[in-house]
Amino acid sequence: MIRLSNISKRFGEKEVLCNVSLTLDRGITCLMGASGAGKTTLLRILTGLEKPDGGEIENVPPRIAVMFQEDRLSETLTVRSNLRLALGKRYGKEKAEQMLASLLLPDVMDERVSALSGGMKRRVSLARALLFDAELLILDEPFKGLDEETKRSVMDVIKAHCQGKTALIVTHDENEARYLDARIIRL
Amino acid sequence: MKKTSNKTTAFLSRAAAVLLWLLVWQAAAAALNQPLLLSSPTGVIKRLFGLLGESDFYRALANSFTRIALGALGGLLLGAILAYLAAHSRPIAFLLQPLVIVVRTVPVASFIILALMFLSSRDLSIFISFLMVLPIMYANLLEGLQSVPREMREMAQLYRLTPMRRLLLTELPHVKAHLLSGAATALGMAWKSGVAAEVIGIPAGSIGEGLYQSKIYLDTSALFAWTAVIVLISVLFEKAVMGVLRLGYRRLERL
Repeated sequence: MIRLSNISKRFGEKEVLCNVSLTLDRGITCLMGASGAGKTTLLRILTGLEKPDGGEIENVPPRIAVMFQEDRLSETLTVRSNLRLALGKRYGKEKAEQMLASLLLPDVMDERVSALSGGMKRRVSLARALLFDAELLILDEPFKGLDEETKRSVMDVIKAHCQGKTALIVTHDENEARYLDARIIRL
Repeated sequence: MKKTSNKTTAFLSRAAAVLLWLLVWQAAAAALNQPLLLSSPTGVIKRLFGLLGESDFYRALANSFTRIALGALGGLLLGAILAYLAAHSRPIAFLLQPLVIVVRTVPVASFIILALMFLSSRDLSIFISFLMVLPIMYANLLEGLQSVPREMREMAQLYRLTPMRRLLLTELPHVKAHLLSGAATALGMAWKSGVAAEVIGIPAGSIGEGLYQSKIYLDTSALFAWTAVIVLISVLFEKAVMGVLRLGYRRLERL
């Protein structure tokens, strides 16, 4: 169980997190809250990208797969190059193709990322996180910009993938959390 | 279709401009009527064909090309390696900064004269072309590497990319424009400085020696002919190196 206790963080004068405590069990947890509530900051602290001003973090696994709010893909490279280079030894051609197909992205392996639409880039970014096969999966607004039908398929893939794993997903939509059978934490 | 016709128009416009200046040159040479001072384009072409028939010409070409190309490629490679190290280590960046500033600001002639005290005239052009290329490549690439977005650096950190995978995925794609423009500028400088070093050092059997002799004998036809050869091989060399770099990028993009 991952535990965050009394986490505080301020940027200059602005206090973003004040004594936030939460635990993450196996399964999906959805982190909800208004814009600017500190969700992304909390994720950054959890991943080690940001240091908290106070509080304790326990049992964070060494390997974390993250899908950021931005796609963070190399635009001039193909989808294949992006996945192969990011995943290293974990990259497998068939596995990657299957994952992309399940995210409704068949036949994009040889496409340059710059040629993809915003929604497609989001799913490539998601595929990279899922294929990284980490103990902890963190997804920051993974359904942003997706149409309803695609969103359902993507949620099904995430649900299946997260069986027996720990996942923290940022979303603004309670229906998404319900569909994922997720525990909800509000900031 | 429209793209092709635009390209043809652009090519014809450029060719017309070149032709116009050749005509101006021809007219100026005819008006001056002093071939020793200003040779005509036709005189230069005749001299160039004369050179092409001499075996010494090819020996000079091969010698100069080998040395300057060696120096330029060495400068590109070491400049790139040092930029990479400096981008990942502040102490290295601070350590190299004064050296790079010195190399970029001190006149090349000062370096040539200083280097002649330590090097043979034959090796001088290798060293000088190396020295001119290195800081240009270094500065361009360092600027590119330092501007890799924080988001991509964080992604590399979280996905635990090895230095090689980080280079291929996040750095090389981002610095493409810096690398290509730096290499193009640096390679142009390599030939200018390399030949200047040969003219001062006068190694036997080199383009620099040919230029020097054209000065001694007031042979402007030979001077222009050698200059045309230098421009041509420098352009071909630049195109070859840039072609290799672009090919490398194409392979990376479709890895």
